[in-house]
Amino acid sequence: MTEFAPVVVVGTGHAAIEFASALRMGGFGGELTVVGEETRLPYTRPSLSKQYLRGTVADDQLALRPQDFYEKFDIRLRIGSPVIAIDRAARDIALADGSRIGYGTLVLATGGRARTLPDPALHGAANVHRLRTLDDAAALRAQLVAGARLVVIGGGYVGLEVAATARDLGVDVTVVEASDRVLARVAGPATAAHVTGLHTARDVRVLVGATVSGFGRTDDRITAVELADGTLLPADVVLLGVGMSPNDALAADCGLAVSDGVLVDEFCRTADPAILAIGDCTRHPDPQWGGVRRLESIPNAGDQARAAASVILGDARAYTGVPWFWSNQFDHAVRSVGLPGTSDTVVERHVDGQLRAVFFLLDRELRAVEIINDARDFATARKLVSRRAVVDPAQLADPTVPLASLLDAGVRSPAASGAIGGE
Amino acid sequence: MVKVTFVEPDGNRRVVDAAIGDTLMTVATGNLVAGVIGECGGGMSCATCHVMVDEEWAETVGGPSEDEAGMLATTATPAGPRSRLSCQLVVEPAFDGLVLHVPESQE
Repeated sequence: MTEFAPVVVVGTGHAAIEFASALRMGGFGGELTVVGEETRLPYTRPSLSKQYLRGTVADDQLALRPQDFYEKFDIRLRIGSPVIAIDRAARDIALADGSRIGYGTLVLATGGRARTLPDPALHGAANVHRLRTLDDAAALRAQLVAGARLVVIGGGYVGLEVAATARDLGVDVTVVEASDRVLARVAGPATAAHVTGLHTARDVRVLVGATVSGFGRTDDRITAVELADGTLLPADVVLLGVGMSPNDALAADCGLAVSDGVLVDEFCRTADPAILAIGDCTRHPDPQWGGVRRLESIPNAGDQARAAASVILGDARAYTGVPWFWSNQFDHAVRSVGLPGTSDTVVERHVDGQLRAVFFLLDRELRAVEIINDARDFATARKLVSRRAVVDPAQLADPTVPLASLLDAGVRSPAASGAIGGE
Repeated sequence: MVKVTFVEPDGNRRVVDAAIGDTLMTVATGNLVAGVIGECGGGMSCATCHVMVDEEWAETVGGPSEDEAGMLATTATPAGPRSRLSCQLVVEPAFDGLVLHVPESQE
Protein backbone atom coordinates (compact mmCIF):
# COMPACT_ATOMS: atom_id res chain seq x y z
CA MET A 1 0.00 0.00 0.00
CA THR A 2 1.98 2.98 -1.25
CA GLU A 3 1.10 6.52 -0.42
CA PHE A 4 -0.20 7.15 -3.93
CA ALA A 5 -2.28 4.07 -4.61
CA PRO A 6 -5.85 5.21 -5.34
CA VAL A 7 -8.12 5.59 -2.34
CA VAL A 8 -11.82 4.93 -2.78
CA VAL A 9 -14.40 5.78 -0.13
CA VAL A 10 -17.86 4.20 -0.12
CA GLY A 11 -20.37 6.58 1.43
CA THR A 12 -20.88 10.34 1.29
CA GLY A 13 -21.77 11.20 4.87
CA HIS A 14 -19.87 12.80 7.73
CA ALA A 15 -17.22 10.11 8.09
CA ALA A 16 -16.52 9.98 4.36
CA ILE A 17 -16.10 13.73 3.98
CA GLU A 18 -14.04 14.18 7.16
CA PHE A 19 -11.82 11.35 5.92
CA ALA A 20 -11.36 12.84 2.47
CA SER A 21 -10.57 16.23 4.00
CA ALA A 22 -8.07 14.78 6.47
CA LEU A 23 -6.38 12.80 3.72
CA ARG A 24 -5.88 15.79 1.45
CA MET A 25 -4.92 18.02 4.36
CA GLY A 26 -2.24 15.46 5.26
CA GLY A 27 -0.72 15.79 1.80
CA PHE A 28 -2.09 12.68 0.09
CA GLY A 29 -1.44 13.28 -3.60
CA GLY A 30 -3.06 10.23 -5.19
CA GLU A 31 -6.47 9.64 -6.70
CA LEU A 32 -9.25 10.03 -4.20
CA THR A 33 -12.78 8.98 -5.08
CA VAL A 34 -15.83 9.27 -2.84
CA VAL A 35 -18.84 7.36 -4.11
CA GLY A 36 -22.24 6.84 -2.55
CA GLU A 37 -25.91 6.16 -3.14
CA GLU A 38 -27.36 9.39 -1.76
CA THR A 39 -28.29 11.80 -4.52
CA ARG A 40 -27.50 14.96 -2.60
CA LEU A 41 -24.22 16.83 -2.27
CA PRO A 42 -22.79 15.63 1.08
CA TYR A 43 -24.68 17.26 3.91
CA THR A 44 -24.79 17.40 7.67
CA ARG A 45 -27.45 15.44 9.54
CA PRO A 46 -27.93 16.96 13.03
CA SER A 47 -30.18 19.77 11.93
CA LEU A 48 -32.54 17.43 10.05
CA SER A 49 -34.51 16.89 13.26
CA LYS A 50 -34.16 20.50 14.37
CA GLN A 51 -33.65 23.68 12.33
CA TYR A 52 -34.17 22.02 8.95
CA LEU A 53 -37.42 20.42 10.09
CA ARG A 54 -38.50 23.73 11.55
CA GLY A 55 -37.97 25.30 8.15
CA THR A 56 -35.35 27.84 9.20
CA VAL A 57 -32.55 26.28 7.20
CA ALA A 58 -32.52 25.67 3.44
CA ASP A 59 -31.20 22.56 1.70
CA ASP A 60 -28.05 24.24 0.45
CA GLN A 61 -27.15 25.45 3.93
CA LEU A 62 -26.66 21.86 5.03
CA ALA A 63 -23.69 21.18 2.75
CA LEU A 64 -20.75 19.63 4.56
CA ARG A 65 -18.39 21.41 2.20
CA PRO A 66 -18.95 24.07 -0.49
CA GLN A 67 -19.92 22.75 -3.90
CA ASP A 68 -16.53 23.70 -5.39
CA PHE A 69 -14.58 21.96 -2.59
CA TYR A 70 -14.40 18.59 -4.34
CA GLU A 71 -13.01 19.83 -7.62
CA LYS A 72 -10.71 22.29 -5.84
CA PHE A 73 -9.06 19.52 -3.88
CA ASP A 74 -9.23 16.90 -6.60
CA ILE A 75 -11.76 14.68 -4.87
CA ARG A 76 -13.81 12.72 -7.38
CA LEU A 77 -17.29 12.79 -5.92
CA ARG A 78 -19.87 10.42 -7.37
CA ILE A 79 -23.25 10.85 -5.76
CA GLY A 80 -26.36 8.85 -6.71
CA SER A 81 -24.08 5.87 -7.37
CA PRO A 82 -24.89 2.84 -5.24
CA VAL A 83 -22.05 0.36 -4.76
CA ILE A 84 -23.25 -3.21 -5.04
CA ALA A 85 -20.18 -5.37 -4.53
CA ILE A 86 -16.53 -5.41 -3.48
CA ASP A 87 -14.08 -7.69 -5.30
CA ARG A 88 -11.22 -8.07 -2.87
CA ALA A 89 -9.08 -10.17 -5.19
CA ALA A 90 -9.32 -7.71 -8.07
CA ARG A 91 -9.30 -4.75 -5.66
CA ASP A 92 -12.23 -3.05 -7.27
CA ILE A 93 -15.83 -2.22 -6.51
CA ALA A 94 -18.88 -2.69 -8.72
CA LEU A 95 -21.44 0.08 -9.01
CA ALA A 96 -25.13 -0.32 -9.79
CA ASP A 97 -24.64 1.39 -13.14
CA GLY A 98 -22.33 -1.39 -14.27
CA SER A 99 -19.08 0.53 -13.88
CA ARG A 100 -16.18 -0.54 -11.68
CA ILE A 101 -13.63 1.48 -9.70
CA GLY A 102 -10.24 0.07 -8.78
CA TYR A 103 -8.71 0.81 -5.39
CA GLY A 104 -5.39 0.63 -3.61
CA THR A 105 -7.16 1.26 -0.33
CA LEU A 106 -10.91 1.03 0.18
CA VAL A 107 -12.61 2.89 3.01
CA LEU A 108 -16.13 1.85 3.99
CA ALA A 109 -18.11 4.78 5.37
CA THR A 110 -21.53 3.39 4.60
CA GLY A 111 -23.27 4.57 7.75
CA GLY A 112 -26.60 3.09 8.66
CA ARG A 113 -30.23 2.96 7.67
CA ALA A 114 -33.23 3.83 9.78
CA ARG A 115 -35.05 0.77 11.08
CA THR A 116 -38.68 0.19 10.37
CA LEU A 117 -41.31 -1.98 12.08
CA PRO A 118 -42.32 -5.26 10.47
CA ASP A 119 -46.08 -4.50 10.41
CA PRO A 120 -47.40 -4.90 6.83
CA ALA A 121 -49.86 -2.08 7.45
CA LEU A 122 -46.92 0.31 7.09
CA HIS A 123 -46.03 -0.76 3.54
CA GLY A 124 -46.58 2.06 1.08
CA ALA A 125 -48.19 4.29 3.68
CA ALA A 126 -47.88 7.90 2.58
CA ASN A 127 -47.79 9.40 6.05
CA VAL A 128 -45.26 7.14 7.78
CA HIS A 129 -41.74 8.48 8.07
CA ARG A 130 -38.28 7.58 9.20
CA LEU A 131 -35.55 10.14 9.62
CA ARG A 132 -32.07 9.46 8.39
CA THR A 133 -31.65 11.37 5.14
CA LEU A 134 -32.36 14.84 3.85
CA ASP A 135 -35.05 13.37 1.59
CA ASP A 136 -36.68 11.82 4.68
CA ALA A 137 -36.60 15.17 6.46
CA ALA A 138 -38.08 17.03 3.50
CA ALA A 139 -40.96 14.56 3.28
CA LEU A 140 -41.62 14.76 7.01
CA ARG A 141 -41.43 18.55 7.03
CA ALA A 142 -44.13 18.77 4.37
CA GLN A 143 -46.57 16.96 6.63
CA LEU A 144 -45.87 18.75 9.90
CA VAL A 145 -48.58 21.38 9.72
CA ALA A 146 -50.11 23.10 12.71
CA GLY A 147 -52.94 21.05 14.12
CA ALA A 148 -51.76 17.77 12.61
CA ARG A 149 -51.55 14.84 15.02
CA LEU A 150 -48.07 13.30 15.08
CA VAL A 151 -47.36 9.98 16.76
CA VAL A 152 -43.67 9.36 17.34
CA ILE A 153 -42.80 5.73 17.86
CA GLY A 154 -39.55 5.58 19.80
CA GLY A 155 -38.32 7.86 22.55
CA GLY A 156 -34.68 8.13 21.52
CA TYR A 157 -32.85 11.29 20.50
CA VAL A 158 -34.33 11.42 17.00
CA GLY A 159 -37.90 10.84 18.17
CA LEU A 160 -37.65 13.41 20.94
CA GLU A 161 -36.01 16.07 18.79
CA VAL A 162 -38.69 15.67 16.13
CA ALA A 163 -41.33 15.79 18.87
CA ALA A 164 -39.93 19.06 20.19
CA THR A 165 -39.61 20.63 16.74
CA ALA A 166 -43.09 19.51 15.75
CA ARG A 167 -44.57 20.88 18.96
CA ASP A 168 -42.95 24.24 18.23
CA LEU A 169 -44.71 24.11 14.86
CA GLY A 170 -48.09 23.69 16.56
CA VAL A 171 -48.39 19.98 15.90
CA ASP A 172 -50.18 17.75 18.42
CA VAL A 173 -47.56 15.24 19.54
CA THR A 174 -47.59 11.88 21.30
CA VAL A 175 -44.38 9.92 21.91
CA VAL A 176 -44.68 6.16 22.38
CA GLU A 177 -41.77 4.38 24.05
CA ALA A 178 -41.66 0.66 24.81
CA SER A 179 -39.04 0.91 27.58
CA ASP A 180 -39.81 2.25 31.01
CA ARG A 181 -38.24 5.59 30.12
CA VAL A 182 -37.21 7.69 27.15
CA LEU A 183 -33.54 7.66 26.07
CA ALA A 184 -33.32 4.22 27.67
CA ARG A 185 -30.29 3.17 25.65
CA VAL A 186 -28.30 6.33 25.99
CA ALA A 187 -29.14 8.13 29.23
CA GLY A 188 -29.87 7.45 32.87
CA PRO A 189 -33.27 7.72 34.57
CA ALA A 190 -32.69 11.16 36.09
CA THR A 191 -31.87 12.78 32.76
CA ALA A 192 -34.70 10.86 31.09
CA ALA A 193 -37.12 12.24 33.67
CA HIS A 194 -35.79 15.76 33.17
CA VAL A 195 -36.16 15.53 29.39
CA THR A 196 -39.64 14.06 29.73
CA GLY A 197 -40.52 17.05 31.89
CA LEU A 198 -39.40 19.42 29.11
CA HIS A 199 -41.86 17.72 26.79
CA THR A 200 -44.84 17.39 29.11
CA ALA A 201 -44.46 21.06 30.06
CA ARG A 202 -45.20 21.80 26.41
CA ASP A 203 -48.11 19.36 26.21
CA VAL A 204 -46.30 16.58 24.39
CA ARG A 205 -47.82 13.31 25.60
CA VAL A 206 -45.06 10.88 26.55
CA LEU A 207 -46.22 7.27 26.98
CA VAL A 208 -43.61 4.87 28.37
CA GLY A 209 -43.92 1.15 28.82
CA ALA A 210 -46.15 1.39 25.76
CA THR A 211 -45.92 -1.19 22.98
CA VAL A 212 -47.35 -0.69 19.52
CA SER A 213 -49.61 -3.61 18.58
CA GLY A 214 -51.01 -2.43 15.27
CA PHE A 215 -52.12 0.38 13.02
CA GLY A 216 -55.40 1.62 11.64
CA ARG A 217 -55.22 2.33 7.93
CA THR A 218 -57.50 3.75 5.26
CA ASP A 219 -56.31 3.68 1.65
CA ASP A 220 -52.64 4.69 1.75
CA ARG A 221 -52.71 6.50 5.07
CA ILE A 222 -52.24 5.32 8.62
CA THR A 223 -55.10 6.74 10.66
CA ALA A 224 -54.25 5.45 14.12
CA VAL A 225 -51.57 3.74 16.18
CA GLU A 226 -52.86 0.90 18.37
CA LEU A 227 -51.13 0.13 21.66
CA ALA A 228 -51.01 -3.25 23.38
CA ASP A 229 -53.11 -1.95 26.27
CA GLY A 230 -55.92 -1.12 23.87
CA THR A 231 -55.25 2.61 23.59
CA LEU A 232 -55.97 3.98 20.14
CA LEU A 233 -53.96 7.06 19.09
CA PRO A 234 -55.46 8.91 16.11
CA ALA A 235 -52.66 9.98 13.78
CA ASP A 236 -52.19 12.18 10.75
CA VAL A 237 -48.44 11.60 10.65
CA VAL A 238 -46.32 8.81 12.09
CA LEU A 239 -42.58 8.91 12.72
CA LEU A 240 -40.65 5.71 13.32
CA GLY A 241 -37.69 6.61 15.53
CA VAL A 242 -36.69 3.06 16.36
CA GLY A 243 -32.99 3.16 15.78
CA MET A 244 -30.66 2.39 12.94
CA SER A 245 -28.95 -0.68 11.54
CA PRO A 246 -25.38 -0.36 10.32
CA ASN A 247 -24.87 -0.83 6.58
CA ASP A 248 -22.46 -3.75 6.81
CA ALA A 249 -23.84 -5.94 4.02
CA LEU A 250 -21.23 -4.89 1.46
CA ALA A 251 -18.53 -5.95 3.89
CA ALA A 252 -20.27 -9.18 4.84
CA ASP A 253 -20.85 -10.11 1.21
CA CYS A 254 -17.15 -9.97 0.42
CA GLY A 255 -16.20 -12.05 3.43
CA LEU A 256 -15.18 -9.38 5.94
CA ALA A 257 -16.10 -9.98 9.57
CA VAL A 258 -19.25 -8.18 10.67
CA SER A 259 -21.29 -8.31 13.85
CA ASP A 260 -23.97 -5.64 13.76
CA GLY A 261 -21.32 -3.46 12.19
CA VAL A 262 -18.07 -3.91 10.27
CA LEU A 263 -15.44 -5.14 12.70
CA VAL A 264 -12.32 -2.99 12.81
CA ASP A 265 -9.36 -2.47 15.11
CA GLU A 266 -8.26 0.75 16.79
CA PHE A 267 -6.78 1.93 13.49
CA CYS A 268 -10.05 1.31 11.65
CA ARG A 269 -8.54 -1.64 9.80
CA THR A 270 -10.49 -4.72 8.81
CA ALA A 271 -8.77 -8.09 8.41
CA ASP A 272 -8.06 -7.11 4.80
CA PRO A 273 -5.00 -4.84 4.74
CA ALA A 274 -6.46 -2.87 1.84
CA ILE A 275 -9.82 -2.15 3.49
CA LEU A 276 -10.65 0.24 6.34
CA ALA A 277 -14.03 1.16 7.79
CA ILE A 278 -15.14 4.26 9.68
CA GLY A 279 -18.16 5.86 11.32
CA ASP A 280 -21.65 4.57 12.11
CA CYS A 281 -21.12 1.35 10.14
CA THR A 282 -18.31 0.09 12.36
CA ARG A 283 -17.98 -1.96 15.51
CA HIS A 284 -14.68 -1.03 17.06
CA PRO A 285 -12.60 -1.43 20.23
CA ASP A 286 -13.32 0.75 23.25
CA PRO A 287 -9.93 2.31 23.99
CA GLN A 288 -10.80 3.24 27.57
CA TRP A 289 -12.58 0.24 28.97
CA GLY A 290 -12.05 -2.65 26.54
CA GLY A 291 -14.60 -4.62 24.63
CA VAL A 292 -16.11 -3.45 21.37
CA ARG A 293 -18.93 -1.05 20.66
CA ARG A 294 -20.90 0.55 17.90
CA LEU A 295 -21.56 4.30 18.12
CA GLU A 296 -24.12 6.40 16.28
CA SER A 297 -22.28 9.65 16.66
CA ILE A 298 -20.85 12.56 14.71
CA PRO A 299 -17.71 13.00 16.82
CA ASN A 300 -16.93 9.29 16.37
CA ALA A 301 -17.26 9.64 12.62
CA GLY A 302 -14.71 12.45 12.62
CA ASP A 303 -12.31 10.72 15.03
CA GLN A 304 -12.32 7.47 13.08
CA ALA A 305 -12.00 9.38 9.82
CA ARG A 306 -8.86 11.09 11.09
CA ALA A 307 -7.42 7.86 12.45
CA ALA A 308 -7.97 6.10 9.13
CA ALA A 309 -6.41 8.99 7.22
CA SER A 310 -3.36 8.82 9.47
CA VAL A 311 -2.94 5.15 8.62
CA ILE A 312 -2.89 5.84 4.89
CA LEU A 313 -0.59 8.81 5.35
CA GLY A 314 1.94 6.51 7.00
CA ASP A 315 1.71 8.14 10.44
CA ALA A 316 -0.81 5.83 12.05
CA ARG A 317 -2.48 7.20 15.16
CA ALA A 318 -4.99 4.98 16.93
CA TYR A 319 -8.49 6.17 17.54
CA THR A 320 -8.78 7.17 21.18
CA GLY A 321 -12.00 9.17 21.37
CA VAL A 322 -14.34 9.01 24.34
CA PRO A 323 -17.89 8.89 22.97
CA TRP A 324 -19.96 11.99 23.38
CA PHE A 325 -23.36 13.11 22.19
CA TRP A 326 -25.54 16.16 22.23
CA SER A 327 -29.23 16.80 21.76
CA ASN A 328 -31.18 20.04 21.53
CA GLN A 329 -34.84 19.97 22.50
CA PHE A 330 -36.98 23.00 23.31
CA ASP A 331 -33.93 25.28 23.63
CA HIS A 332 -32.33 22.94 26.14
CA ALA A 333 -29.02 21.23 25.44
CA VAL A 334 -28.46 17.76 26.82
CA ARG A 335 -24.88 16.60 26.37
CA SER A 336 -23.32 13.39 27.49
CA VAL A 337 -19.83 11.93 27.50
CA GLY A 338 -19.00 8.28 28.02
CA LEU A 339 -21.47 5.42 28.10
CA PRO A 340 -23.30 4.81 31.40
CA GLY A 341 -23.08 1.03 30.97
CA THR A 342 -22.51 -0.70 34.25
CA SER A 343 -22.00 1.76 37.05
CA ASP A 344 -22.04 1.16 40.78
CA THR A 345 -22.53 4.76 41.81
CA VAL A 346 -24.74 7.44 40.29
CA VAL A 347 -24.51 10.99 41.60
CA GLU A 348 -26.87 13.82 40.71
CA ARG A 349 -26.14 17.52 40.97
CA HIS A 350 -29.06 19.88 41.32
CA VAL A 351 -29.10 23.66 41.31
CA ASP A 352 -32.23 25.43 42.66
CA GLY A 353 -34.14 22.18 42.46
CA GLN A 354 -33.26 21.64 38.80
CA LEU A 355 -31.18 18.72 37.57
CA ARG A 356 -27.89 20.00 36.20
CA ALA A 357 -25.66 16.96 35.92
CA VAL A 358 -25.53 13.21 36.45
CA PHE A 359 -22.28 11.36 37.09
CA PHE A 360 -21.80 7.62 36.64
CA LEU A 361 -18.92 5.93 38.45
CA LEU A 362 -17.58 2.40 38.41
CA ASP A 363 -14.95 1.36 40.96
CA ARG A 364 -14.65 5.04 41.93
CA GLU A 365 -13.74 6.08 38.35
CA LEU A 366 -15.90 8.51 36.42
CA ARG A 367 -17.29 6.61 33.43
CA ALA A 368 -19.96 8.90 32.06
CA VAL A 369 -21.49 12.29 32.68
CA GLU A 370 -24.69 13.90 31.49
CA ILE A 371 -24.86 17.69 31.58
CA ILE A 372 -27.96 19.83 31.16
CA ASN A 373 -27.22 23.09 29.33
CA ASP A 374 -23.91 24.26 30.81
CA ALA A 375 -21.40 24.07 27.96
CA ARG A 376 -18.39 24.83 30.14
CA ASP A 377 -19.31 22.07 32.61
CA PHE A 378 -19.67 19.69 29.70
CA ALA A 379 -16.20 20.44 28.42
CA THR A 380 -14.86 19.86 31.93
CA ALA A 381 -16.79 16.61 32.16
CA ARG A 382 -15.20 15.41 28.93
CA LYS A 383 -11.77 15.95 30.38
CA LEU A 384 -12.64 14.21 33.64
CA VAL A 385 -14.06 11.16 31.85
CA SER A 386 -11.16 10.85 29.43
CA ARG A 387 -8.79 10.87 32.41
CA ARG A 388 -10.93 8.25 34.16
CA ALA A 389 -10.81 10.67 37.10
CA VAL A 390 -11.34 9.38 40.61
CA VAL A 391 -13.47 12.06 42.24
CA ASP A 392 -15.23 12.19 45.60
CA PRO A 393 -18.96 11.69 44.96
CA ALA A 394 -19.80 14.26 47.61
CA GLN A 395 -17.99 16.93 45.62
CA LEU A 396 -19.76 15.87 42.44
CA ALA A 397 -23.12 16.31 44.12
CA ASP A 398 -22.31 19.63 45.76
CA PRO A 399 -23.46 22.49 43.50
CA THR A 400 -21.18 24.94 45.32
CA VAL A 401 -18.11 23.03 44.11
CA PRO A 402 -17.28 24.28 40.59
CA LEU A 403 -16.81 21.29 38.34
CA ALA A 404 -13.69 22.88 36.88
CA SER A 405 -12.03 22.79 40.31
CA LEU A 406 -12.23 19.00 40.22
CA LEU A 407 -9.85 18.88 37.27
CA ASP A 408 -6.95 19.43 39.63
CA ALA A 409 -8.44 17.58 42.58
CA GLY A 410 -9.31 14.48 40.55
CA VAL A 411 -6.73 11.75 40.66
CA ARG A 412 -5.92 10.11 37.37
CA SER A 413 -6.76 6.45 37.72
CA PRO A 414 -3.69 4.20 37.58
CA ALA A 415 -5.53 2.05 35.06
CA ALA A 416 -5.71 4.99 32.69
CA SER A 417 -1.96 5.28 32.51
CA GLY A 418 -1.63 1.66 31.47
CA ALA A 419 -0.35 0.20 34.72
CA ILE A 420 -0.83 -3.55 34.83
CA GLY A 421 -2.26 -5.27 37.86
CA GLY A 422 -4.10 -3.95 40.89
CA GLU A 423 -3.09 -1.27 43.33
CA MET B 1 -17.10 37.70 -1.24
CA VAL B 2 -14.37 39.03 1.01
CA LYS B 3 -10.77 37.96 1.52
CA VAL B 4 -9.83 36.39 4.83
CA THR B 5 -6.36 35.27 5.90
CA PHE B 6 -5.87 32.28 8.18
CA VAL B 7 -2.41 31.99 9.67
CA GLU B 8 -1.95 28.25 10.16
CA PRO B 9 -0.12 26.83 13.19
CA ASP B 10 3.15 26.51 11.24
CA GLY B 11 2.99 30.16 10.18
CA ASN B 12 1.74 29.49 6.65
CA ARG B 13 -0.66 32.24 5.53
CA ARG B 14 -3.76 31.05 3.65
CA VAL B 15 -5.68 33.80 1.90
CA VAL B 16 -9.14 32.53 1.00
CA ASP B 17 -12.41 33.83 -0.36
CA ALA B 18 -15.21 33.98 2.18
CA ALA B 19 -18.86 34.32 1.22
CA ILE B 20 -20.99 36.78 3.17
CA GLY B 21 -23.20 34.82 5.54
CA ASP B 22 -20.95 31.76 5.86
CA THR B 23 -19.31 31.08 9.21
CA LEU B 24 -15.56 31.31 9.36
CA MET B 25 -15.47 27.68 10.45
CA THR B 26 -17.17 26.72 7.19
CA VAL B 27 -14.72 28.92 5.31
CA ALA B 28 -11.80 27.22 7.04
CA THR B 29 -12.94 23.65 6.51
CA GLY B 30 -14.06 24.43 2.98
CA ASN B 31 -10.53 25.52 2.19
CA LEU B 32 -8.74 22.79 4.13
CA VAL B 33 -7.19 25.35 6.43
CA ALA B 34 -4.90 23.41 8.76
CA GLY B 35 -5.80 23.25 12.42
CA VAL B 36 -9.53 23.99 12.40
CA ILE B 37 -11.59 20.90 13.13
CA GLY B 38 -15.18 21.84 13.98
CA GLU B 39 -16.04 18.43 15.36
CA CYS B 40 -19.67 19.19 16.15
CA GLY B 41 -20.35 20.93 12.84
CA GLY B 42 -21.10 24.38 14.26
CA GLY B 43 -23.32 23.53 17.22
CA MET B 44 -21.05 25.22 19.76
CA SER B 45 -20.61 21.93 21.59
CA CYS B 46 -16.96 21.08 21.07
CA ALA B 47 -14.65 24.15 21.02
CA THR B 48 -12.46 22.66 18.26
CA CYS B 49 -12.93 25.54 15.81
CA HIS B 50 -10.97 27.93 18.03
CA VAL B 51 -9.28 30.87 16.29
CA MET B 52 -7.56 34.04 17.54
CA VAL B 53 -8.49 37.32 15.92
CA ASP B 54 -5.52 39.45 14.87
CA GLU B 55 -5.06 42.47 17.12
CA GLU B 56 -5.93 44.94 14.36
CA TRP B 57 -9.29 43.28 13.84
CA ALA B 58 -10.39 42.71 17.40
CA GLU B 59 -12.68 45.71 17.53
CA THR B 60 -14.35 44.97 14.19
CA VAL B 61 -15.03 41.36 15.11
CA GLY B 62 -16.07 41.95 18.70
CA GLY B 63 -16.19 39.63 21.65
CA PRO B 64 -17.94 36.34 22.41
CA SER B 65 -21.35 35.79 23.93
CA GLU B 66 -21.53 34.39 27.45
CA ASP B 67 -22.19 30.86 26.19
CA GLU B 68 -19.33 31.12 23.73
CA ALA B 69 -17.04 32.45 26.45
CA GLY B 70 -17.93 29.38 28.49
CA MET B 71 -16.85 27.11 25.68
CA LEU B 72 -13.69 29.17 25.07
CA ALA B 73 -12.61 28.46 28.64
CA THR B 74 -12.20 24.82 27.63
CA THR B 75 -10.10 25.01 24.46
CA ALA B 76 -7.06 22.77 24.05
CA THR B 77 -4.79 25.74 23.42
CA PRO B 78 -5.74 28.17 26.21
CA ALA B 79 -7.92 30.99 24.94
CA GLY B 80 -6.46 34.48 24.76
CA PRO B 81 -8.16 37.87 24.90
CA ARG B 82 -9.06 37.74 21.21
CA SER B 83 -10.07 34.11 20.99
CA ARG B 84 -13.33 33.22 19.27
CA LEU B 85 -15.08 30.08 18.09
CA SER B 86 -15.06 30.39 14.32
CA CYS B 87 -18.46 28.67 14.07
CA GLN B 88 -19.91 31.77 15.73
CA LEU B 89 -18.24 34.27 13.40
CA VAL B 90 -20.44 35.08 10.43
CA VAL B 91 -18.73 36.70 7.45
CA GLU B 92 -19.83 40.29 6.77
CA PRO B 93 -18.51 42.92 4.33
CA ALA B 94 -16.55 44.62 7.13
CA PHE B 95 -14.43 41.44 7.41
CA ASP B 96 -12.65 42.05 4.11
CA GLY B 97 -8.96 41.60 4.89
CA LEU B 98 -9.60 39.90 8.24
CA VAL B 99 -6.67 38.00 9.73
CA LEU B 100 -7.20 35.04 12.03
CA HIS B 101 -4.57 32.93 13.77
CA VAL B 102 -5.17 29.20 14.14
CA PRO B 103 -3.90 27.86 17.47
CA GLU B 104 -1.44 24.99 17.81
CA SER B 105 -3.99 22.43 18.86
CA GLN B 106 -7.76 21.85 19.02
CA GLU B 107 -7.86 18.59 20.95
